[in-house]
Parts: sequence; structure tokens; C-alpha cells
Amino acid sequence: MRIPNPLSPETLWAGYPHTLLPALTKFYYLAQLGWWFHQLYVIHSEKPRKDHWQMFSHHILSITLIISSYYMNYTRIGTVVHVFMDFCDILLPVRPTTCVVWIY
Amino acid sequence: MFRYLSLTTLCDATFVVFLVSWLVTRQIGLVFVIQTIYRYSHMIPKGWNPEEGQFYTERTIHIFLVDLSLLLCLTTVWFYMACMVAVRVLRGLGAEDSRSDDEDEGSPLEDVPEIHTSQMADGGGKGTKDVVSDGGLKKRR
Repeated sequence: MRIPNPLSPETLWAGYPHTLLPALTKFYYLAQLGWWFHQLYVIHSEKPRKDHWQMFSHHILSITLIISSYYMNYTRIGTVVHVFMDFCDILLPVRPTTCVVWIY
Repeated sequence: MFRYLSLTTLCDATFVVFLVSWLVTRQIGLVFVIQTIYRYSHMIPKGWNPEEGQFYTERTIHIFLVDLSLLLCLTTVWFYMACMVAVRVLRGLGAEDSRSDDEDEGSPLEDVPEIHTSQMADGGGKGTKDVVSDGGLKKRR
């Protein structure tokens, strides 16, 4: 299968059963999985928030997606999703300390 | 951290950057991903051969699409909530700007009775601590 352009979306799919992962990708993926399990514990150990059930369903959905895409070798598109979903979180360590007044 | 240095503009800017990056990645980016799966996943050779690591059927892709759409719905709700916070802050800041002219007369007196009632309700030292932090936050705002 020819890949016209390395940045095109087709690169995500070409040569599909990507059974071998780069070590960092594998680490990132499994760390994400662990993180969401941890968050599932965290939201039940803290005082429940307003969006508790939303968070809960989000974590369950994330875990489902991660496990199924990892098992079925859809890790390339999965990594894209991870990157998109995580990008904002870079700003989170800055935000709560600065703007805690706004959220609560 | 920035807040304690009274750099409220920086605080504003961080929040705006956060909202914009959320919009670009979690809303638009996720739609892009869903669209990509919908349009390009047919490039994969069809078949269900777990021994070779190949798991492509129409149904698999549809389940992934539904799951990601649910994820998109969840992030949309959160984004809406974050935008509402931003709107409230904008309104609150506007109110404070007009209020801060006669700062010493108006607002502190309004806040004080409220603080006392909550203190009575809590009925203890814990209440006082809450009140102090609450008052601090209100003044900062």
C-alpha cells in the first residue's frame, strides 16, 4: 500500500495490523490506562463533585476505548486521540493554583 | 501561584489559552479523528484474524465511532461548563469594576452578615476558618 504523504490521515491506517509498537508508544498507552484506573479510584475517594457521574462515565469510556484499541491494534489512531485529549492538561497544573477562585 | 502575585491578567490569559486549546484539540480535533476513522478506515484489509492481530469489521469500526462520539458529547458538556465559568467571571469582573469605586462602604458590609450566618450554622472553629478563606477569596475577586 502506497502512502502519499506522511502527514496524511492514511498514514494512520496503512499497513494495519500494527502489532509491533515503539517502546515509548507502548509506555504512553499503558500509562494512560493506568492513569484512568487511578482516576476511577480518585473520584470515589474524594468528596463527590457536581459532575461525578459525568466523570465516572468518561473514565469508563476511556478505559474501554484504550483496552479495545490496544487489543485490536488500533494504537496509531488511539495515540492521536490521547494527544488531543491530553494537550489541555498541560495547562492544568498552572490553572488550579492560579485560578482556583474561578472554578469553585 | 500567579494569583498570589496579583497577576490577574496572567490568570485571565492562562484561562483563555486553556479554553482555546480545549476548543482546538478536544472539540475540533476529536471531530477530525472521528471523521478520519469514518473516511479512511476502509483502507484496512477487511477480516477478523485475531492470530495475525487483524480485527477489522464494519461493526468494530462502528462501535469505535459510537464510543468516540460519546466522548465528544462528554467533552462538549464540560466545555460548555468551562465557558459558563468564563462568562460568569467576565460578568463578575465587570461588577467588581463598578463596585470597587466605593469599595469600603458597599461590598464588605454586604458580605459580613452572610459570613455570620454560615458561621452560626457551622458553629465552631472550623466555620471560622472557612469564613476567613471565603472572605479572602471574595476580596480577591
